[in-house]
Amino acid sequence: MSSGKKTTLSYEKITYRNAKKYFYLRVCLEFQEPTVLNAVEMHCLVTKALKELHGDTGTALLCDLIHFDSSSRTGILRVYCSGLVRLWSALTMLSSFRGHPCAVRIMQVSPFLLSLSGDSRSWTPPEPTASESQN
Amino acid sequence: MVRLKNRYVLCAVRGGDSALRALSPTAVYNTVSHALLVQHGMYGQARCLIGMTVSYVNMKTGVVIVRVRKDSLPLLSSALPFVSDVGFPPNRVQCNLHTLHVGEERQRVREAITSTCFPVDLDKDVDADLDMDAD
Repeated sequence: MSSGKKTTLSYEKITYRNAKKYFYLRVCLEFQEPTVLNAVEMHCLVTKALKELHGDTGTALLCDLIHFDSSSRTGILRVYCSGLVRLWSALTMLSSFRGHPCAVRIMQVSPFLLSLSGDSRSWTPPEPTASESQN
Repeated sequence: MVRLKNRYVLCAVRGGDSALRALSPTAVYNTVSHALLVQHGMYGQARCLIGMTVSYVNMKTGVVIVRVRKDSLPLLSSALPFVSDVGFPPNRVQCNLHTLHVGEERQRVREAITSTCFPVDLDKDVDADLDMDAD
């Protein structure tokens, strides 16, 4: 006669709200005229956008420029999850920088940096090789 | 039925007789509006100016009552300490706004004035009860 205790498996659901500390934004700058921009000027642009829309409290927001490509004028910004809406709205409302009309396009937003490495809109499947096509 | 809740902020102007002479509802309104623009940007200024009025200004005692929506009270209360001058140029005068009391009803604020701050008759003194709505 077996006297082993029966262990019942229990199901537990745990939900974390706003668990991620940072959010990452992939942004792209568009100018009417061809303009060369470096990383420092890009950071100044972000600070100016926050200052215009949200004032001194907006400039106090901790925002980092992780990566910036001068040729394509695209960069990756990192911000605390509590400041995401402020930063996103400030970048969207920016219309000029140093007298040049410009626009900031928010391409991707994700709490994971790895997900910014690619997306289905820009990814193209590789062409199948001849051996693969025969098989 | 949507009920709009207001908050009445009782402030005192500290800056000497010259600051009291420069007091007017328009001057106080413009000063507070500028402080909101600097601290909270265009968004904070626009959000707070909806329903904001200077209900009472007393040039003798320097008592100012500002009415603001309940949702905008944190923006206003955080911007008032940064008010450094009042008046229109070239008659700008250096002064400070000390927040004394925040009440839900104007009657409560009047009671706070008569019981704690100044023994003045609010009905007899100069009562600039003008609406300075932006629209």
